[in-house]
Amino acid sequence: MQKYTLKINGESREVEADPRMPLLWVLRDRLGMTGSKFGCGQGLCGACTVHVDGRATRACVLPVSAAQGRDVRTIEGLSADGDHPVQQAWIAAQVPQCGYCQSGMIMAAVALLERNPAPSDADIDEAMTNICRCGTYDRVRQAVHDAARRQASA
Amino acid sequence: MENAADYALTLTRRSMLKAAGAGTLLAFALPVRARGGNGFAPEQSALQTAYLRIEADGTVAILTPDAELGQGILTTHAMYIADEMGADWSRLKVGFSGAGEIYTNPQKNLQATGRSMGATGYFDLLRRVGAAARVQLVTAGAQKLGVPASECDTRDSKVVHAASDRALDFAELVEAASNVPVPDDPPLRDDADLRYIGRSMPRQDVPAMVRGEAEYAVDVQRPGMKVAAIRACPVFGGRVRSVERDAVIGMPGVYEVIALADAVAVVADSWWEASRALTELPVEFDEGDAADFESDAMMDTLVAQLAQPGEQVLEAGRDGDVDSALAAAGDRVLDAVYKAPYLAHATMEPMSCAALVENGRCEVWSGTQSPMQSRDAAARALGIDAADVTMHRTFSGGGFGRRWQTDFVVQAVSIAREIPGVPVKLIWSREEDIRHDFYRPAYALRFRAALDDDGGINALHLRVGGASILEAMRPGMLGGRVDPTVIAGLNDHSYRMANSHVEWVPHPTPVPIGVWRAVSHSQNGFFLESIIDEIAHAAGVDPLEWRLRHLQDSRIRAVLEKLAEVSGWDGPLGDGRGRGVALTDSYGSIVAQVAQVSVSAERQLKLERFYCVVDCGRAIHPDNIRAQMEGGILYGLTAMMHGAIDVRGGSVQQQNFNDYRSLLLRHAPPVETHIIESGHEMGGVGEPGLPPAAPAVTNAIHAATGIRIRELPLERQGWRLA
Ligand code: FES
Ligand code: FES
Repeated sequence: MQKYTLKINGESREVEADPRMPLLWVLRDRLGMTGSKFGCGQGLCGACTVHVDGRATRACVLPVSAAQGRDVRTIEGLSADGDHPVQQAWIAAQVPQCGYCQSGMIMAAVALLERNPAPSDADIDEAMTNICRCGTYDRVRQAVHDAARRQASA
Repeated sequence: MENAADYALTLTRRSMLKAAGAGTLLAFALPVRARGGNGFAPEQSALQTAYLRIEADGTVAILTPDAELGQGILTTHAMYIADEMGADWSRLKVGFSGAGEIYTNPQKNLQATGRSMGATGYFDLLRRVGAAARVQLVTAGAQKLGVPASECDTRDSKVVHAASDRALDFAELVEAASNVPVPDDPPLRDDADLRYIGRSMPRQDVPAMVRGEAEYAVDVQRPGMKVAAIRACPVFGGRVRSVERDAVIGMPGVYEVIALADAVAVVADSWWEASRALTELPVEFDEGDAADFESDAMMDTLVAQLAQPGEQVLEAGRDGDVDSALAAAGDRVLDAVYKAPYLAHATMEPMSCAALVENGRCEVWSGTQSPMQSRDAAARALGIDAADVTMHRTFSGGGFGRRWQTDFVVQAVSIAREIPGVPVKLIWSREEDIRHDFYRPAYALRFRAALDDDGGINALHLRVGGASILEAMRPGMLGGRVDPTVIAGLNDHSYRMANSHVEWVPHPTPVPIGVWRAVSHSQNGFFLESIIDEIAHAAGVDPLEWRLRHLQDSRIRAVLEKLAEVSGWDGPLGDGRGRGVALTDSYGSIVAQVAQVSVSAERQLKLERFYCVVDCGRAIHPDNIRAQMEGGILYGLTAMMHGAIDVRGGSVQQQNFNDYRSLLLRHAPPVETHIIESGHEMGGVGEPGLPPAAPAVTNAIHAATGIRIRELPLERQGWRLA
């Protein structure tokens, strides 16, 4: 066990953990932040997607030791009132079904739009590789375009 | 499995079941101290019933008896109650009821989410619950306003007296309304007065979902809670022989090692610590009888049996004289075998359940599809009364039939029993989830068909082989009868034919099997709609036109006609492209789909576009119906493309999303859905979107290339998605 100081959603948090413990489980089981989900544990599904230094990162395969000193942003830190343009677009398109993949899906979309404010369909295809077993993909695509428009006019 | 009879019960034809009679409403609307549920903060409210509560500020809290698996049922049920009550959509909160007989779905006499019956089964009951509350509120409000109740109505969470332009908020009426006797048979609103039912109301749970705040079982937190990881014997039916507890008990975070009959669990401070210790835990298993089971060999045997079934064949329908008709057709008989593999559900949230056992009582937190069976199974496992089990229900990260089973609930309470007083949350790894499912059974089907002079069917012989889900759940329960979970979709279709014969060759399997989204329709839709396409092709008739000519049911023809129109069926397509059509009638709804694909010489398949027409009788929530069609299609296409579970040496070979793959966003076709409200009895929508999806695509591949696909998944035959 080692002590780590993590910067999560702009706040400094102290945790004790094995250096190999994935950031996902530090968030969920050490810090009680359960918005980021567990789907596969192997970097395959994206349910655990958070931002590390602004990049969409699969937290289930990122050791806590590698997160130390970097900016971590989770779904809990996306907006104060759940009104980030991407969240608004998600509500407008009624994207979620079971909702379980959607934290990761939204974090992936936010990272994409921060890099590329007006993504094409091909850009979305390329960037959005999260699995949704409920099959919300078509709505995700439309909501990403809608979020881009909302951000452009904000 | 204890719930086979319960599942069979839900198969009873819906027309034979009537909604709860008027006299029973009182029970539903009476105040109950509802145990469990998702625990709205405990609050005293004068007006509180099993399904709803009006809080001091006038907020109407609504509890659904169903599991929310993504099908939008929290919202649908809120619409039923709130519409009748006249409650403001923005002043609702929704949650889950506890488990119990008071919450049973009148269509199946069981509180359980499956068979696409959540919207249909509770339609009358929940409207009456809402209407009873409305009568109570109106009576109280009219009294306060000093006007006749007959001049008042409710709207936007107020009792309104239009004539004097006065209104009283629900908040001002809670106390008084609770003193009004619950009416036995409150009048329902006329359809013209409905403001929510029939409209795409914003889902009540979506805002929490986009904030990451919806609580699934994996998210449950209690003071002092531990987390458990589990590993079952990889061979089905195997048993734990020995465990070296001491090898891991000193590892950081590890709290306890618990051996169950067929699995071992490690309990720790975090799931990662538990699962790491589990990988290092020395365990020996007795593998048992299934250790030589091979799914490939089973499929070969099954196909051989279809040619020579001997004694074992069961009748599932016979009309006319198929044998003579086929004999007369000689070598013009179409004769081929279709195959469908085992499938896992792979819900996005792996199986999970939290439990606390203490002083002869048990609390369970779960996203189960079957709360009553889960409650009873937990009680049996612990040797306590069902009344001493409290079910707290959470959101479910997908169900698709997997959470109908109670295995993970029994595991969680069995672990909790060993550490009394300590709440423990069991989370399966994805590997465990893929390898210990209750799989969609593998099936093979042989068909033989002879055409008549008009290109219609003179004779069709369907012989399907595979395991019975009901029989696997409870051996002996069928008593030689035909299992509807094997046969539905083959012997109840609408195609006209002079001679027909449907048979089933039962073929038991040691592989755990269960209900998978759309159950028998998931494979039978593929079989029959491909066969119909073969027949149309042999007749030299356009496959959509052929169906229009030979379907007997005008309601189904109307769906197809609409589909032909919206899909531009007759429009030109370039080289290497094709359209395919398929339709199924399941769970009371008719769904027809056109897939438009393009295909390269290297078997690169592009799913360009889907058109879907659904007639579900009455549309409660059009956007949600569209979402369910989209979801059903995608789930079906994923199985069509990638889905296959292989069993070797009695254990599943697939492990995770790398080898049990899903379609991704870049593969997903846009889906255009059109809804027909025919006014027929309302049907379900959670499952019916799935069955036509695969055959629509494989028929489209045939149209584009001449290649007939008789076996899934496509990736095993060299196909790749573009
Ligand atoms: S849980 Fe991290 S990618 Fe699946
Ligand atoms: S919404 Fe259920 S997995 Fe995506």
